[in-house]
This record gives sequence, structure tokens and C-alpha cells, in this order.
Amino acid sequence: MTIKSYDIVIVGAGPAGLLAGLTLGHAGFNVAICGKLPKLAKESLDTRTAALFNDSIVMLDNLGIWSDLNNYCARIDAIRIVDDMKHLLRGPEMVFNANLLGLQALGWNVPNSKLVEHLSIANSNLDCCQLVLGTNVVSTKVENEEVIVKDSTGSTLRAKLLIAADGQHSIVRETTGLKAHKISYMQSALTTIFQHSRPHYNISSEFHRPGGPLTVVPLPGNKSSLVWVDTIGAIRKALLLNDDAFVAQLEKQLHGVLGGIKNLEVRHQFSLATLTANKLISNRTALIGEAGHAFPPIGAQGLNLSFRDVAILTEVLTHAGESGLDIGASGTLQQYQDHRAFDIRLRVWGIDALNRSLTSTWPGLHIIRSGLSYFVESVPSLKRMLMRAGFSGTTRVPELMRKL
Amino acid sequence: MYLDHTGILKMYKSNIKLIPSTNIDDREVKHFSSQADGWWDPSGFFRPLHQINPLRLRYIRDQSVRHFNIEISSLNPLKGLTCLDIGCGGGLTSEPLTRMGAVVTAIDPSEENIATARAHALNSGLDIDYRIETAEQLTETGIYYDLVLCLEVVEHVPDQSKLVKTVAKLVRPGGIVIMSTINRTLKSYALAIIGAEYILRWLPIGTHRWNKFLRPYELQTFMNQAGLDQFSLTGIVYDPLQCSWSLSGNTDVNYMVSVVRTDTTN
Repeated sequence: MTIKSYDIVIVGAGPAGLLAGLTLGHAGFNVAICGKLPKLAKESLDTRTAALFNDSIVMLDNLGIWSDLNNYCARIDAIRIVDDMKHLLRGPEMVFNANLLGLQALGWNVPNSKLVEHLSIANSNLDCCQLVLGTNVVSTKVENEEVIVKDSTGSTLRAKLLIAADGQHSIVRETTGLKAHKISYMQSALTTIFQHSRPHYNISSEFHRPGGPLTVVPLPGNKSSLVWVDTIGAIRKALLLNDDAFVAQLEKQLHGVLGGIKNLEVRHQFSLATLTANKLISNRTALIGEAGHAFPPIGAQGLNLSFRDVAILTEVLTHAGESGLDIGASGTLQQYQDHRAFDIRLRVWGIDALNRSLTSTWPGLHIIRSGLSYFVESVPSLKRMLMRAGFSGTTRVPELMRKL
Repeated sequence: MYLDHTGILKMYKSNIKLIPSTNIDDREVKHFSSQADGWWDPSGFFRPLHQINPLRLRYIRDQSVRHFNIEISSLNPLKGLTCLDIGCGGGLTSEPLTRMGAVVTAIDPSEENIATARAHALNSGLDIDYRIETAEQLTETGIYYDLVLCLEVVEHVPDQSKLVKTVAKLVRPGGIVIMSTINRTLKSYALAIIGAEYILRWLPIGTHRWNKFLRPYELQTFMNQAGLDQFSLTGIVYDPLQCSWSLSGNTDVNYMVSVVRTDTTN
């Protein structure tokens, strides 16, 4: 049984927790990250990928891990949205090209497993950041201006601030009494990676279908990752298909955009929900990543939002720390809450609305959606505005996301 | 004339007991002592102090780093500096300065304030030398400090020129003094007294008396007479739209000054 003191204890060793450990460690704080590395990532079976927009890539670059991680990622030059709703009134094919904003790329498609691997290596190379992996946090409490975290091995960690990065089902959020608003959908998602005969030209395609969106995102070479959202029944059926039958179905769903499909990797299923914590902060505790907000894998928002959480929290804590202020005091944490609340709410609401508009059986909605698509397509300035809102934050760019 | 806590308009009579040797206003000490429990509540009586504190601390840090030629490479840039915090109250500035690495002595005439400050520092695990003492009493020990802070104090003492002279005796030759106070302008009457005390109720009514506010040049004169030079002035302004405070060239209401003790003899 040991007792150790830190400035900050982070619970959760997923992408958000590891990223926070790295940025806060670089800022000079003494940090401990406790939790288990994502199981799938450890076995390299995680076929999920995340589209990281330019701001997030700049952040990885500033941390010095992008130059190597880059080798496993593919650039995304454009996102194409295809109306595949099989309705009489079809919306136009919309292409959001990076050059509309005068940018080189919209972002990069990054494999989750590689991201976690690179982040944890970078963390273990940092002196002031300690990884306490393979343990479960048993309890957390606040006592005398300090957080006390006990883990399953009987060790005690003390800190000025606790950061909860333990995902949608956050235990820390539960124990601190922070409430979360949750919407469950009658949908699930299937993810996999496959090779294809035709090149993807660095374009990501999103097919809006009645059960939800089906998205293919480029990977290096003639390879793409798939995120297919559909009804629970349809996904369960697709999981049971043998590889050949699944490939045949996928080729049809992609309308031949990527040609013939081969070398299909493992298929995984994920349940879909939208979750928003009512507040991101409580007594000496801050929520980041999916502990504070989770939504369906639509529009590639999730991880980018977590990156912004980390960037803002690090900025707020660094400013407080450099002025000698108590980093866990409510005044400090309130700044994090104030900076993040609007951005998060906007995206959770937007993705929920988009998903509902796809799955709704009310015919009028499809007409409105198609009409809106035509309108956006015909007003370039509106399209650019929409792109700026979608591909970067709604508020100012945090310091960590500015090019050094 | 002032409004008391019950809101009744009273003629203000000069019935304060002045202790000539200590330059302390009993009424002021009582006023702050009565709020001692609230020092660390960011939404309580000392809310404005909590709001401007990050800014004051950044100013103190940057001025010290520049003056003492310190290279910022860590979260404790003031490491090794000795610092005196005059009129420390509940320790709102003393604690951050200690975290920044300074060795802090903090004094306040109010027993209640020091009790609050000591209890909070104990919980925060910080080692600060808190004393129930006045600046005059401290001069008798003959100790000097690298950095002397006198924040939001000069507007609460009877003899302001004397306070500045006392402060000058406590800083070592070549050390710096940082003071902050409120300007005596029409705008400060409207904002700091009518606005902050009567309308927004950020501060208890009677916290400030306008005629005790100092114009920057008056403070500069006191400082020059006391042998403190290289007067550097910065304003603190409130942006009601952003609900935030920032450093500014505008010194109409709140301002901070930093001066150097340039003489080399004790």
C-alpha cells in the first residue's frame, strides 16, 4: 500500500486521458494517469479510426508525435455526402473540399490503436508523467483541498485536481454526483477496415441511408475504414454474414465508388448513444472526452471535441499554475466550463438532429433536408461558414492548437 | 456621508480611534475582520478580489521576472525570492506567491484574517509565515525583502504618505515594491463605489471611501519622497460584456504600480 502525491490525477487511459497526461506533463505538472489501456487497442484489434481535423493535427505535431504517427494515417482532402435515402426527392451530392477554405486538407484519418500507442509511448518518455496502468479506481473523494484516489491494488494517489477521462460510463462522474443526459438510439455501428481496387483519391464518402449514415474514410494505400450506422437488426445481421457475403453487400451499398473489396478485417459492433454531462466540473474534478460528451460516429466530431477539451483545460490550468493559483479551485475550473459548454452543446445537438432527420419516418422532414442541401450548395458563403463550424472549434483556437 | 449596512443614510463623523504610532484605522480593521470567514469564497464578499487576483498575480510575476532577470522555465519562477505581503487578508496572494516559489512573510493587523489565512494554508499544504503585525512594527526588526507587496491597502490607512515610507524601509536596496489601489476620479466613484457597492453589491457598503483613493501622480510623489523610483504604472479594466478583467493603459479606476528602491545605503 503506497501513498503518492501529484498535481493532477487522470482517471482513464484512452486517447483523451493520454493526451491530457502529455499536454499537462509538458506544461510542467506532476501527473499520474491511472486506468487500463483500451483492451482492443492493446490487442491491435481496434478497427476504429478517427478523422482528426487540422487543429487536432497541429496539436499532435506540437507534441512531437505527428511526424511518426503520420505514417499510419491518410489525408482527407474532401468529404462527399450522398443522399441514398431512396426517396422521390433526392438531395444533391454535396462535396466539402478543403480548397473551398483555402486549405491543403480537411484533416487526417488516424487509426485509434496507433494513436493510443503513440500517446502512451510519449507519456512514458516524460519524466513528470506517471502511467499507473492495469488498475481500477475504487474510490475518489475530496478532503481538505485535496483529491484522494484509491485503486484496486490498495494504493492511494493524492492530487490537487482529478480529471475524469474514463469514457461514457464514467465512474468518476457517477461518484461526484454529476448528472448526464442520455439519449439511446435504436441503432448500432459496425466498424472494419478493408482494401479496394479503385483509389479513394483521399475523399471520404458519407452515404445518408434510412437506417443511418454509412461512411468510408481513406487510409494509406488502397485501404479505407468503414463506419456503418444502421438499425440494431441490420447490424446484427451484417455481423453474422460470412466475409464473402458481407463484401458483396458492402460493394452494393457503396455503389461501386471504391470498386471491388478484398482483405476484410475484423468487424466490431458498437452501441449508439448521445450523452451530455450537465456540467463538466465539480469539486476539484473536471470531465474531459466521452465522460463529458458522447455521440454517434457521424460527422467526425467526437475525438476532435475531446482534443479541444484537453487543449482548453491545459491552457486554463497552465495559466493558473504559472500565476501560482490553486489549479483545482472552483474559480480555475469554472473557466474550463465556460469555454467548453457552448461548443459541446452545439455539436451534441447538431449530430442528434442530423441523425434524427435521417432515421425519421416523417416524409416532410426529408423534403426540408433536401431543400436545405440545395440551399447550402447554391450559397457558397453559407457552405464555407458551415465547413468552418464543422471542421474547427466554435470558439477561438486554443494556444495548443496554434502552429508553433 | 455614507450608507450603513441597514441602508440608513448617516452622517459620517470622524469618530475613528486613530492610533498614531501604527497608522491603522480601527474601523477598517473591524470591517475586514467581520468578513474574515469569507476570504476564500469566490462568490462571496471578496468576489472582486478573486476576479482580479489572476491578473494581479500575473503582473507581480512578470514584473519580478523582468526586474530580477529570472528565466521562466518552470511553474515556480519566483524560487528563492523573499517576499513580504502587507495587509494579506485571508492570504489570497500569499498562497499563489508561495506556490510560485517565493518565501513569503505575510502580515495583517486583524487577528481573524490571520486565523483564516493560517487555516487555509495548512489545508493547502503551504508554508507561509503569517503574523498579526503592522508594517511599522516589522520595520523594527530590520529585515528586508526582495519583493514587497502592498495590494489594495493604501486606500484603507489614515496616513498614506507614511505607509509608503514604511514600505520603502522594508524592501532591500535593488528590490521592488508593487502596490495596487484605486484612482480618485469621477469614474471610480461611479464604478467602484456606486456600482460595486450599491448596485452590484460585489462589496459590502462602506468598504471604500472615495476621498481615500489616490491619483497615480500622488502615489508617485509619496514614492519618490520615500526613495522609490522607476515608477511603472498599469491599469486594470473591467469589460462588462466579457465579464472579465484585463491589464490596460487605462488607469481611471483600478491600477497597479511597480517601483524600485534605487538607493544602495540602508
